[in-house]
Amino acid sequence: MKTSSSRPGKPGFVSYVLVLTSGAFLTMLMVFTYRQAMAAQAVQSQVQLRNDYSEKEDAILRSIVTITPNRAIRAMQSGSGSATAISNPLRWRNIFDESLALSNARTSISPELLAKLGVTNAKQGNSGDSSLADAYRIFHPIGVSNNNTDARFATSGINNDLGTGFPVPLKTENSQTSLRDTAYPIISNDKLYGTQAQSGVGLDVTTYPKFNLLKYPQINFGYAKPGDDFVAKRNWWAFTMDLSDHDDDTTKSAKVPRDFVLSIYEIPSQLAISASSFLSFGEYASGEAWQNVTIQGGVYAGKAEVEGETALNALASRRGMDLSDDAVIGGKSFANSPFAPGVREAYQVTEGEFFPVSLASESGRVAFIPINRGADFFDRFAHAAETNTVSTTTWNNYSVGALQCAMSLDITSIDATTKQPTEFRFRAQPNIDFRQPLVTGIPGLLPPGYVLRAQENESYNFGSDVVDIAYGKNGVFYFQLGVTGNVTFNNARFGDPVVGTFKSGYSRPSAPFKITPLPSGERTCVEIMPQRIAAFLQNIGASNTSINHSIVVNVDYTTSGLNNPNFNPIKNGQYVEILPGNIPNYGLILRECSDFTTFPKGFSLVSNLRTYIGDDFNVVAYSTAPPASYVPPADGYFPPCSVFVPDKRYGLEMDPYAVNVKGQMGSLASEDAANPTRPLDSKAVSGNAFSADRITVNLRPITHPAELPPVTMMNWLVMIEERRQ
Amino acid sequence: MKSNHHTKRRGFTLIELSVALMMGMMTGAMLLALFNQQLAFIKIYRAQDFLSVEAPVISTYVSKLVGKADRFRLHASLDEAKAGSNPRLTASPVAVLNFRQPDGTMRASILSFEDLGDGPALYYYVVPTSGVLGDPEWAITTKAKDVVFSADQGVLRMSITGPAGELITYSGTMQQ
Repeated sequence: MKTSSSRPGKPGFVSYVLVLTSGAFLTMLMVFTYRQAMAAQAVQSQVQLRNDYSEKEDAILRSIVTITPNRAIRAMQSGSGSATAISNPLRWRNIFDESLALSNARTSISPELLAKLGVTNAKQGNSGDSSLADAYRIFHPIGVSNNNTDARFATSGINNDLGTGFPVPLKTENSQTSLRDTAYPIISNDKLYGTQAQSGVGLDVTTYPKFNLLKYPQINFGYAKPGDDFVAKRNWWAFTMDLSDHDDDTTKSAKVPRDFVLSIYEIPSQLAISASSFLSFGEYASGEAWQNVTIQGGVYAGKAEVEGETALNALASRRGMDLSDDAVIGGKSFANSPFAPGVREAYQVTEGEFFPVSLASESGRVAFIPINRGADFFDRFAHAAETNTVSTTTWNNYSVGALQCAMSLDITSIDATTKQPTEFRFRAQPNIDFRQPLVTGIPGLLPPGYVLRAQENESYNFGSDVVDIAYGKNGVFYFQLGVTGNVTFNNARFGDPVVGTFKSGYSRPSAPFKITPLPSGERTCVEIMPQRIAAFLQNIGASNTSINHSIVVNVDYTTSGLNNPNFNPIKNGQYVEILPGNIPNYGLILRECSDFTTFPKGFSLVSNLRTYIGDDFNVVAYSTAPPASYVPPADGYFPPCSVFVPDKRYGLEMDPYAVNVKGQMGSLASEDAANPTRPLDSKAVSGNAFSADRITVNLRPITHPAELPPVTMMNWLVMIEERRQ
Repeated sequence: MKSNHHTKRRGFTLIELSVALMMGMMTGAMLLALFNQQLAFIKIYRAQDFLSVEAPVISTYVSKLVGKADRFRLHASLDEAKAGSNPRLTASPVAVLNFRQPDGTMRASILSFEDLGDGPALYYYVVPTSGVLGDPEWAITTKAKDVVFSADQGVLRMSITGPAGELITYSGTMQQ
């Protein structure tokens, strides 16, 4: 058989075409598939990057909320402005920079965590990891061009109206506060509401510049009901955050900068019961249930325990709460935890927007900080003078009630043998400062207010007037207090303060304070008679009671007084009855205290001594009309009063039959105490507790700045809100 | 002597032809398999397109809105949402998001899955200060077959059903 090739082309050409065509087609399919995969990967990469940015932003904002109040407090503390090494960490630039570190925003997994996991030579492929080295590229002030200076991180909310969507600004006439507020989070009494703020507050800013009526923000933590009025001052700062700017050249992903407002609300304690303490509601220490108790509005406790069938309108807490099965909060009982996921949302759908039980930790970008100085609040000698502060208001002056009082009365000397007080020191505004010997035989200068009544050996009849008298000459006088009737000014009565000198007799209306033994003889007390203070201040040339509206009573155990710290009844932050070294524990008696209408702004008393309320307290309403914007409760417009003492007793000569309390209650006890404080427990002078049927309590919240007493407890609500553009 | 050496070309044996034929068939089969595989890849990517591309973008937009909101409410219809009536936590096509401005004023927006005549879509409405709702600002997605919002243990969930019946659920929480 003959075979011969007759094909014209090279052999295998068809195969070439077939293979190449198939290859090209397959390649096209693969390219198409690859493009699809790449597109999906690109989308998911961008989505992941943006999710990463969102989570970082949220973590950073939460960190700012945590850091800022701490820095604001430090800026008020002594020495905060003494050196840049101390003040620099308090600046906004450092706060923001620290928030980046605290939120772990720079890396998806920290080197410390890697080390703990034992992962060596880890290769991280998180596209969101970034050095974020320059905080000024992330945080910008609003309405100000950005550059890397202290004043270019946040816009201060004072003297500065940023327009729609932003809160109304505060004002200050203190240039230091105005300047520093752009660089630091400044909390200062210099920051007030002015005319620029009028449209955003509820009351006239001229009358109420310090605290005004604001709307409670829309947050889960229910110190008040969202949208309701509450009494506060709002400090705020605004900034823009752009987390993508640092790396947008690399990521090719830019974000729209977001505007935020960081606020620190200063909230005077205003609920019916408000205390940063471990409180127990519903039962007295005896185990009896509350009986005649009415509480309007919500209550706040640092940590709460609700016993029995107690009914409360709302309960807010910072550290947690324990509700009995029968407790009713906001009309609802909670057999299971009210904080279980979904309970709040279900309630809000079926019952209403305001969930009556809340914890501060339920709100992400919110921190609630009660300013609770504990027993230090009572004692002005426990605090050294503060200097070189960044803020114009120092921390102790801001947070210690004893230092906020306009007047002070101290025991500065005692008899070495009997331990009876022999000298007071009294101070009042504007510059009254004198020592008052309490018994004759102790020489002293003639305090203000004394007028000449007689010469040596002459008599003067004071009739029924109660007066303090002095006898002496040339700056050396002996004294007798609380005298009536006919008095002969001679050596026989007083002793001879200046031997060989012809002396004179003086008198003044009796001071509103004196030394009085408790009728039981249990202890010696300082007795205060507030109803006499107005006339006394006028007599000694002091400012009137609109300025001298508060008094602190302490034993001066420092070198300026007794020079013996054992006299301080506060030991390790707790009031104690037994003082070391057989030192007597003095007391404080409040008498002639039923009528405070001579105090136009109310009255406050602070003391670290056990206090006996010997008369009715604040039961006379003002006869004057209340401020135009204020509608007082039905029982009248009473002077706003506050009493801060570590231990209070009712009665003096004998145990009262019953006690009736109105107003607000608080406590300075610790949240961490092992046993709860029972705010409504009441003891008589003998130390016996009133039985439940003899305690009547009607508590209501403060709803207007006109109801704020001169000295209050303070709380801060810190939060960040976004201003939507 | 002249040797006339004539090269004789012989044919293929049956075995050779069989082997060649089998190899050709195997190559063809492999080629077909490759085609099928590539086509399958394309089908898979197309089927996953909603889950891998569209849904994450929807989630990003919605998460951004929800993350900024202070409160949410779920409703069965846009009318109920506008009226604020019958809020619920169960599966709902409409979610109202409330935002509080730092100056205390409130703003609201609505996410509504509905058919406005061009097929079902997830629309975004901004509630103006007048309260009168106008046209939606934009359609977040027109590819989803169904979108429902629900609240489960306090967490807002959004379940999206894709055109091929694929289901993906995203969860998020409010900021406050």
